[in-house]
Amino acid sequence: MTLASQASREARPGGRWSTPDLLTDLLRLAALERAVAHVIAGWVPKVPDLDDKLAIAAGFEDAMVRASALRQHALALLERDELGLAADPLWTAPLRELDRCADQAAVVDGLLGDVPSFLLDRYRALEAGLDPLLDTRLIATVSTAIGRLASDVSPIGTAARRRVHQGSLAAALASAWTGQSAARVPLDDALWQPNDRVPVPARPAGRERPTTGVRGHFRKGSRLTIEDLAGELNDNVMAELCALELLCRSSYEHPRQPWSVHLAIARHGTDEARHAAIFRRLLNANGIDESTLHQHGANYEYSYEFPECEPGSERELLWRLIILCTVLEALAIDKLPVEIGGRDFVGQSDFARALDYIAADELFHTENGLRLTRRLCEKLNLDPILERERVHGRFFGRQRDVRIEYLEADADRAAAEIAILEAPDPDGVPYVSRTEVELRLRASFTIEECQQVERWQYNPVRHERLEAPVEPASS
Amino acid sequence: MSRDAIAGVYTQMLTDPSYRKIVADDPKVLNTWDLSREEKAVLIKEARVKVAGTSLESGPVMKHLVSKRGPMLSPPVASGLGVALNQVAGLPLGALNGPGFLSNAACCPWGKPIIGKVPDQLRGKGK
Repeated sequence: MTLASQASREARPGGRWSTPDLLTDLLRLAALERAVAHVIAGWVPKVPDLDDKLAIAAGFEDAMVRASALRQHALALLERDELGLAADPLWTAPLRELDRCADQAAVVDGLLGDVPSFLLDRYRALEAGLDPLLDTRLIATVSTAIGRLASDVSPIGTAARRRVHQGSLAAALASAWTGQSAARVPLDDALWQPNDRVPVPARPAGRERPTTGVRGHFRKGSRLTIEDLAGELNDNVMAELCALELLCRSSYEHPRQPWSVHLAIARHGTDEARHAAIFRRLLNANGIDESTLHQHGANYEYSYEFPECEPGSERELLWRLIILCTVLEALAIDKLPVEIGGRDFVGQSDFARALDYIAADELFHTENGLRLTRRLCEKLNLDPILERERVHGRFFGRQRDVRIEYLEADADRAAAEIAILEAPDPDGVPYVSRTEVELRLRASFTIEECQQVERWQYNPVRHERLEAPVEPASS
Repeated sequence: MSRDAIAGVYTQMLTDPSYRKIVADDPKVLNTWDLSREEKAVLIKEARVKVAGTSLESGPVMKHLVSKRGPMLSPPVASGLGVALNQVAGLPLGALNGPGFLSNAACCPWGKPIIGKVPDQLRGKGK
């Protein structure tokens, strides 16, 4: 008796699969897409123009989704032998070079022009050789990729921003596709380490950064004034950009994290890009020229690095994700009902509706962040509640310090601001916030974690499920 | 519960410097806690070294808690230790309320962040 050999299947006339190089094609495309996501993640915070920044960010999740799907298809053909998931570093070399490039315009051109154009051609070529029955599942992935890459609408719903630029990158990608080196590395290790760190995100040249210590937006009058609306919407754009950029760098600076982590980060990050686009559309709809408004990267800058964490360490990653996803986004869960109510109260329905959509996303962002941070805490043997307490103190300690310096620098200015801050709501909006326990529990917070936020005293009304007295924080 | 015990004693040492001194001078006080011999040694070492600010992260107790696998700290102990560490580091223990701040401050994006300092070397580079 003889066992049937694997080699004879590989040697079958016409190949084992429907196209002779199907497995290699899948591995090449998976490696390329993963590398594209990596370059996008590294560069989003470094691109100053907001249209370009959001245009490249829009492709982050799609690239990561396609990479993951192709990896799974390849794994299926490999009969689940993970050792077969290997890549030739040559395949992604042009993208590694692009990432090293100091020319920001060339990177944007590449990511919006040569790269999607090259991928589109490769997917079309692959699709042409597939069998409609044998490859049904793969065809679904490939045709979705073709549809997304050819669409006039970006993955975040804005008009696609394409560059036609058949330059050296296009030639390098084509050459790498057909080239072959002797080297093979595990697909999961095919990325490169970060080239840099970015403590301050890029913003459009010519837009003023507010004075250190000032509030990002300071409401001096009714929500219905164009000045307040402009300041409010613009600050929301800045906050969404900060979240997007921090997530991008958290992916880029940790290429060895599992693909599932990058996929989760990419999904969250792409939501933030869409949220920024939503607020920019509201600015535009209200006739507000954003180029005249302030710019800043406050939440990013406060969350990027911490004296307690070694730069580039997993603990730094943990602290970034804790503060962004499980403190700030979670506080948005508590505050958004008040904000939405206030906008409806003054008749700003479009603004309120936009916030309703965003509020729905915040639950996912928080749940996603809790999952990622709990996993990291388990790996690092750290305690989520303890770490959240620490990073909360550091993040707001920095804001406290600059604010106090600002207030002390000019007593009259401070008094005027304090008077406005302590005055009744200019529109008579009656709503106040509470720790939204049901929503937080649905996002997988524990009741003890709800108690933690209650102790921080962000919310004046106590939720009935937090009846046990919570000791106020004494400073 | 032993992790909770060492974290609890350390919290007490952080919040009450006289207790730190007692542990340093008369370690027998630790016998009232459910602590292993190793944990007692770590606490005594902690009590006898001066740590402050970010060096808290590398103190004997924190190192011990990270290096020893075991059940997570109970929520009140974890929270209490975090508060104590922040207090020693001079960091806020809750929302930035009070004159010049707003009760809902610092919630992204609904309470507006406060603009921070930009390192000088990063200015003038389009960033």
